[in-house]
Amino acid sequence: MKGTYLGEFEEVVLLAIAILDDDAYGISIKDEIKKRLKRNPSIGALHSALNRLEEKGYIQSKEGDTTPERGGRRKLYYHIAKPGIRALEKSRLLRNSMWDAIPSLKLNWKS
Amino acid sequence: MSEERNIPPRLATRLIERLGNHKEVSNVLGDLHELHQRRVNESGVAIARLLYWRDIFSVLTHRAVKKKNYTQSKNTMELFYNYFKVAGRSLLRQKGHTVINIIGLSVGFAFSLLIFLYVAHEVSYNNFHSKGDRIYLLPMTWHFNDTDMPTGANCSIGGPFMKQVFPEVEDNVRISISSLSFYKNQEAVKETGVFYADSSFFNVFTFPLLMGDARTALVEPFSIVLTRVTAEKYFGPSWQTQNLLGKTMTGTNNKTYLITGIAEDVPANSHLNFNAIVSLSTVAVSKGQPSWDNSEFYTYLLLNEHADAPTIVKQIPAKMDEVFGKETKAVIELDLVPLRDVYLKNTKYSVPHTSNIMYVRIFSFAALLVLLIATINYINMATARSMERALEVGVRKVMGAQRTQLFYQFLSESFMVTSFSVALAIGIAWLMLPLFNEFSGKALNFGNLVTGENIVIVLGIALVISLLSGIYPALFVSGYMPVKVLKGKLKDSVQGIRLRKTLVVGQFMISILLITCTLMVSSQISYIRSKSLGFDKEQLVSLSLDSLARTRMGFFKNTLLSYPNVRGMAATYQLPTNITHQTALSLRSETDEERKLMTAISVDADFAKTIGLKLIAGNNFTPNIEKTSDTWEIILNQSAADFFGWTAEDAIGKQLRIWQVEGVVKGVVQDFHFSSLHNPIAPLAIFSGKQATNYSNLLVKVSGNPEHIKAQLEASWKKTNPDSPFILTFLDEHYEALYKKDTQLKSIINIFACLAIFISILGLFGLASYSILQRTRELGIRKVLGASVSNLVSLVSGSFIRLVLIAFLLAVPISWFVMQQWLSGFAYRISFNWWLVIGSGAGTVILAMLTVLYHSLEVTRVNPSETLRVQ
Repeated sequence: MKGTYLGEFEEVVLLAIAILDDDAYGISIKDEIKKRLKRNPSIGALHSALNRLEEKGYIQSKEGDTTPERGGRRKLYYHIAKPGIRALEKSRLLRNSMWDAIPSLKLNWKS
Repeated sequence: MSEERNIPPRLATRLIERLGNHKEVSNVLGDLHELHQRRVNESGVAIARLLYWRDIFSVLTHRAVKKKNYTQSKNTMELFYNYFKVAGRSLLRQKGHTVINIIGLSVGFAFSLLIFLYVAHEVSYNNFHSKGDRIYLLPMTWHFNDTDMPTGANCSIGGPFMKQVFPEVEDNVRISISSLSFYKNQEAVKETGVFYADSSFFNVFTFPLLMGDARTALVEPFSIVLTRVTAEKYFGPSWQTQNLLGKTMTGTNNKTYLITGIAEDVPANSHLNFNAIVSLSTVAVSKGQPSWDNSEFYTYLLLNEHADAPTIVKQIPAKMDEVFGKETKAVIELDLVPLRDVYLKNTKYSVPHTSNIMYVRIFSFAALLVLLIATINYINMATARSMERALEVGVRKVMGAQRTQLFYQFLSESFMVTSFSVALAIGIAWLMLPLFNEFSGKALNFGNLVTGENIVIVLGIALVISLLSGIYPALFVSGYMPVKVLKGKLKDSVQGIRLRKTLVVGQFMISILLITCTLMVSSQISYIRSKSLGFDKEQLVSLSLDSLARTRMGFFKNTLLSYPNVRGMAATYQLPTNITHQTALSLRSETDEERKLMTAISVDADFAKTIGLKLIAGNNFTPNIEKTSDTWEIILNQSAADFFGWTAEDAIGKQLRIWQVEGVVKGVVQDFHFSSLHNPIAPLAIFSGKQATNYSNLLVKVSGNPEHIKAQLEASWKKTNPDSPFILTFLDEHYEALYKKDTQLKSIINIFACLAIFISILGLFGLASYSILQRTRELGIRKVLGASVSNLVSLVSGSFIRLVLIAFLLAVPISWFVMQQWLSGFAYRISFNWWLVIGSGAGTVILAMLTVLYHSLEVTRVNPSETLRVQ
């Protein structure tokens, strides 16, 4: 069902927005992902994900200032919404519980 | 770094912009732009551009932004509603100008609408025949020596010959147009428009029968088919309840006609216009075998579906040769004219009740011009006033209005004005229709013309007009730069002023042209009226003779002789105002015989005396020649003598043969106008003798008021000819009738000229009031500095008057050209009158001056302290 599933790339974007806090807009999100994951998402893929997230209600957008380097266009700032936080937490819990279910790895991790 | 390098590839940007201009698109583009800046700095323009393109495609392939259609449609509706609201408000605010615009447009449109109705009616002629596209008129041309004589009517054998020879000819019908007199309650009534037609008439043409059998109605001799109107005339309003089939009508010729059918009335758009049809067999019986003797039958052929008329026409000469031999082929040429062209497009062959496409063209053109003038008014006013709307436009733009939105807004304003004008115009046209019918000689009515097609055309024209008048102002106003407007720096653009001036010149040029033409046409027509014709048409009346009255004519003449008011009488075949009958004259010399085709008329002995012809050689006819002589006495006109190469004296005593009867020239008269002044005077032979029995008019020259004598004449006519209808006409009227089309043209152009000048002056009035309003303060300052009122008036009106003068100069050569064309259609005409042109120009200039003067006086009279105080 729509709005319940969080894709891998969507999760990454969502996390990046969370990290950037008040400064999350297209380019900064892209930079953050590049910095942390060493992968360079295309602008198209990024905006497509952002649109999906907004549609699902995980993030909200707000218009900011214009800057000359944007050709006189406004920045669109994203911040994470309550459903977004809940989705991130749910995904993390889900993973943690799965991690916990793997005994051998747990050993490896200790040594 | 140059600025240009900072801008990402425009084309690529457009690809995205195409998707819309909502928030998401601008966001994506902002990001791309920012990335581009960074890349230019990091790795140079070339790579940055390449990457920009790649990103654009990634956006497109990921569908990162979507079109937003669903919200837009709702917005548009609301916007349009808003446009109309704002348009309505602004129109109400400028009441004066709105009224000027609406009056101009609606008056112009109303008359164009009337012309449209007229043209639609003209074009619809003969379109109701279900086999119409296969019906052809079969006209012919006589070739005598070097004279060609085309005629719409064919010989009695033409139709049957075509049907016999060409398998493509499915049917043929011959129609002879005549008149008959019938008894109605013992009283003789003359019926014009009586057709003698073949029984195939109702097969070829679509004239539905209310009673009777279409196939057999016209087979038997002395059968008659009446129209609804004629039936009602003779049998009363209750004719439908009586069984008319089998009843009879009695003619004054003592023949009885059996009613075999009742036809629906002939539609107004039919050139075949009959009140009754008699079977052709009625007369064919007495006329024997069909021959090439006399062309009096309007012959129509019905071709089959696969026939090709031009091919048939090409094959005719060979077939003629085959059937009738070389001699006939040389003299007679047949042709085919499609029925749909007979009414408007056939100028070669004369066919009764037909018109000319030229009139349709002239009227449409005049309507178009008036419409154009009205449209120009709107454009001028709208662009001139746009300065006042500039602030509104500026604010709207600042608030985010797009240019297209403003464009639509202004267009909707012109649309409102136009639709209102059209509605008003339909009302005006409806009111003016009776008047228009009088002018055009038509019986148009609105009811018939409200067809789906016509409504669509009218609405289409309305739409085109509103676009035409609205598009330029809309483009013009919506293009204002908000910054300039709001800072108050905007001035009326030079282009705008120039355009307005050009349009004003155009308007006045058209008006002056139309006025000049009207004056020229009227003076030509009054020239025609006053021109001495070479005979005296005043106080000349004509009584029409039927076969019965013809036999009693001598007796009637004798009774009239005792009347003091009757100064002369003469029987003629045709009226002297329009003699058209052509016949072949044989000139006999010792060796051979030469045939010449010329106009000829049979008269009785008193003809020349009665109408006042002047003899220049020889003598008048011998008295009572029409009763005594077996051979002709002939009087030629001067042109005829010249035609034979004789002097007037030479001609006397020459032998000529007409209708196989010998004749001798008795006298020569001065040329007189026996047909319309469109034509030069042709050779004419006037002849008299016992053999001439075809008199159809008795001319009576009276003294005193002809109206008084009418009663006397009627009384004695009734006594002598109780069985013949009394029909008296005035020669004056017959003469006027020759120029009916010209007089109609005059009336219509007259109306158009008045309209054109009215609308132009209206426009000038509006424009002047506005431009003077704009200069109020300038004029105030000038006044303070000591300018006199006359100075100011000439300053203000000068610019407008100059435009009218330019218009005048341009109109002169055009009107010269147009009028030369029209006048060349008259063999006798006035010369191009420069005073008329100058007069109409001066009149227009004065009118324009008065218009402008009104405003300029008003403004210059105001105390400058009042105008200058307002900041």
